[in-house]
Amino acid sequence: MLDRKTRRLLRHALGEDNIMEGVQVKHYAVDGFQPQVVLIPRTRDHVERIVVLAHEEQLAVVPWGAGTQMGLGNPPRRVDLVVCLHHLNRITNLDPENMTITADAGIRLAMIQESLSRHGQGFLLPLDPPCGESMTLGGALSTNASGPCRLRYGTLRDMVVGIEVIIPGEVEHGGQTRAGGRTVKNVSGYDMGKLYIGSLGTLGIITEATCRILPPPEDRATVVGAFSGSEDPWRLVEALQESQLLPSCIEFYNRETASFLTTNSNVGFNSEGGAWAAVGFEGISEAVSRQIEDIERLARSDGVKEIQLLRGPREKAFWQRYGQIGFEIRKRNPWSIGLKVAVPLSAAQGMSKSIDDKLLRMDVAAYQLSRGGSGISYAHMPLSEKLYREKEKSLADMVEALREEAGDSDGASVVVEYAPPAFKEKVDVWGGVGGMLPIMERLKKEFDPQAILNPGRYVGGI
Amino acid sequence: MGKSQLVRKIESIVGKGNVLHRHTDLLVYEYDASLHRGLPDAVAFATSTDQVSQLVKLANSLGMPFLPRGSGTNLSGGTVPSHGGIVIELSRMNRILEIDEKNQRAVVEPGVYNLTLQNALAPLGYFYAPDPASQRVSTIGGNVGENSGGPLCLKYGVTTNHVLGMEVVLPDGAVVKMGGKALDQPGYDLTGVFVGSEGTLGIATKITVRIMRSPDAVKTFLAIYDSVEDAGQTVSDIIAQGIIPAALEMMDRLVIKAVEESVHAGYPLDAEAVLIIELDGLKDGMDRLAERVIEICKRNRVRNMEVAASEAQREKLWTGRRGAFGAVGRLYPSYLVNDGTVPRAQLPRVLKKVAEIGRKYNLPIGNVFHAGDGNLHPLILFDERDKQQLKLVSKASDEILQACVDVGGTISGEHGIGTEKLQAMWLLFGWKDLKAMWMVKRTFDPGNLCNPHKVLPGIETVEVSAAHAG
Repeated sequence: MLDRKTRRLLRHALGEDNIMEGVQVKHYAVDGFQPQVVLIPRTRDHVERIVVLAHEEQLAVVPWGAGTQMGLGNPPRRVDLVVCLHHLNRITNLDPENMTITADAGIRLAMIQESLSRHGQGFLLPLDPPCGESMTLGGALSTNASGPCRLRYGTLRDMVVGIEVIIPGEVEHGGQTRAGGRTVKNVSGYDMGKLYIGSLGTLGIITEATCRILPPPEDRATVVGAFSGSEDPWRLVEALQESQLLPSCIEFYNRETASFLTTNSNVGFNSEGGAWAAVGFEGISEAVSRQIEDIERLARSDGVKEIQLLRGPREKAFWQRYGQIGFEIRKRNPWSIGLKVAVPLSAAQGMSKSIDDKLLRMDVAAYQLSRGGSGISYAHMPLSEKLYREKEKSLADMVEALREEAGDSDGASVVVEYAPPAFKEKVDVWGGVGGMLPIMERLKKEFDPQAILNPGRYVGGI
Repeated sequence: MGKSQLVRKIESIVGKGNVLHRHTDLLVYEYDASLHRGLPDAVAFATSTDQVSQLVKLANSLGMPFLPRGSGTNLSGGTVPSHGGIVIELSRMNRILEIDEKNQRAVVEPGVYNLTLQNALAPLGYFYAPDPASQRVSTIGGNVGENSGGPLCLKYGVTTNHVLGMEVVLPDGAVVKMGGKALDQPGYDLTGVFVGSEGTLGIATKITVRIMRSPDAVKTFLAIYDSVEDAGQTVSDIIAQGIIPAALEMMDRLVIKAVEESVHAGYPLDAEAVLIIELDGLKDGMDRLAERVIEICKRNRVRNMEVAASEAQREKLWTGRRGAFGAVGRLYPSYLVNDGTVPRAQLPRVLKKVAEIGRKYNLPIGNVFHAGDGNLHPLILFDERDKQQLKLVSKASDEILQACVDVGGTISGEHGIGTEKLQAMWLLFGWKDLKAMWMVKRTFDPGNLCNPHKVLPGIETVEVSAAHAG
């Protein structure tokens, strides 16, 4: 329990207005664990004071951006303070000549994209994760969120050149640390950004990052095809690999996902299909046109039943809708489960089929989508409480079976991205990390000796 | 432990004849491509992960420092022992273990030369993007240690963007796998922090890299200028126009002269600067893109532009550029090369400052560098046998680094901190920033035996803290 002294210290550190107590805090629960207070810092200093105090008083802290991915991770061992970072939301440096942007972690990705698009010829941050509009930069960084265009542009670990983090293990020096810088090449010191990105806020609270940005492509388009069989898109990927084409994204999805996309966007298909593929191209106009021709030809020889070419607002609406799937499902069905499977490309088709077979046998529907060129698949299973309780054991067995099939060589993984807390009691959401766990535990002990940040939520119960 | 006992112990691990311990032999390993010197106690040639692990364990049992070394082309003293110890030489672990086209991956041992990998991939229609100028002789393991760049990194990224997994011998001798052919492994990105850690966090014994399809078409230009400023402005303008060439390199008059005398690639001896501009991608629209680039060069008073008409001609241009550091050896016996990197728009300003500093200390400075990503390489030319000159060179180098930091740049873009830039780290970071990095070092190497006294200054402070921690 937060004692009176601690509450007084918090009020002193942040100001009365920036502390939320009482019934409202229930909106900031993590896997059913409600915080005692919700803190809303206005400055980096505030964040630092919170970390210093939490470190001294051994209070469990959960950093919070827009809350789009709070389902990720094991249930926390404890939650005392939720720290909302949305007021740290400025762009501190936009340098179009150097093609970098520096922004506070609490800024929404949509705000970054909007500011970039309005500047000069327009720029973009090549990052398109699901829930991309509302997600904050800090949220994207701590979960290493990514979307379809990672095929061409990589993920945040490839884009971040500088980072600022407040670390509990540093509190005697004030807590704020910087690494990297503003240049696109930099080997001065260790590449700390790589550790912080994807660390689920367990090493420190990210307060700022500098990312590479790109000039806008001259032209872009998406080709969507409906196929009869679920094997067909995989043949298309093989054909693409052997060709000279450079798609910016290759996405496959199943019938459930296709029908989700049809509502609220203008991309309906006349024919019945078993599997869909959406392939995007960006770049100079002649190259985009040639690639559209080529992929249509490849798709036809692959037996595609129907093709649509999307451009402009229609293309935009399609991808926007595509990024909303997980969120919508979670909103409508709080007992839903989302899986992410990542394997080498050569094993991806097999894993996808395995997921299909298991779902069929369990009689559970799923919205499936695959990053076709990356070996990564997502299965979103909408579940009512009743259905969850019925299928709980089979679902847990499925995760274990998939992990067994994926194996642990080659860095393959099966992650439960969101699930009811009851499921998280049965299944470790992350899976194992093999011989690396001792190093990761030691790292955690260095950076957060009192284990105040998101305790228990990360791999191996870190 | 006496010397002969140490040697016997090492021999029992790697075999007789695979250890160097006589003074005359060790002298060859006293230096790398930097100006630093440090004699090891022994050099052991390892040929397997198990041998590396055993050597590390031996070093641990003796409380002796150790460090990995490939070809020793390190430019900052990273492969030279600071306090003696065992050099674990990896050049005999030089097999390409696997080229997996379906998964777009290759798995190599650390001693494989970068160019050997490129040459194995080219006939299959693939390439490995990080292409440091040293590629003929630098090893993939060395590239991993330094997070090497290369001309193509402007478009394709550096080593860390292309290394997806490793087998690593940790500083206590344990062998651990990190990452692999699949993406997004959960947990902290240990592979990511290891790349560029300059051999201070462990020794990579297997490396999984991304390979990419070779581009459909390539166009290479040599643009000739009568002023360095015009060439520099061209670089800024190309990027500002939203064009990202595959490579954008600059050389100035001094370097051009050395290079042309060395390779006879057709570089003009009377030019103040040249740019090598390479475009790659699909051939559709490439001509129009090329036109835009030519237009920008003309707007910046380019004297002449030549297009490489054949693969052979293109190769010659690149051979010249890659051989630049070696070529200046014709002019002076020694050089100190800076590696400061600045935001692109600051290039013209910093080049001016570099020239001023050269005049101030009366030292010739040649420039050859990756203009597209603002990574300078001022080559300060001198004779290291002249101790007075060496002092001036050191001062000049410090001022150049300060100039880079002053415009928001960094002290090393790709050559590493090593020993050379250890104190210069204070120009960029405060103690709390460095302490976070020490936390990483302590995590991997609590005994501080793995290539100690490199990359991170302030070890005195760390040791005191550890002592206080009890």
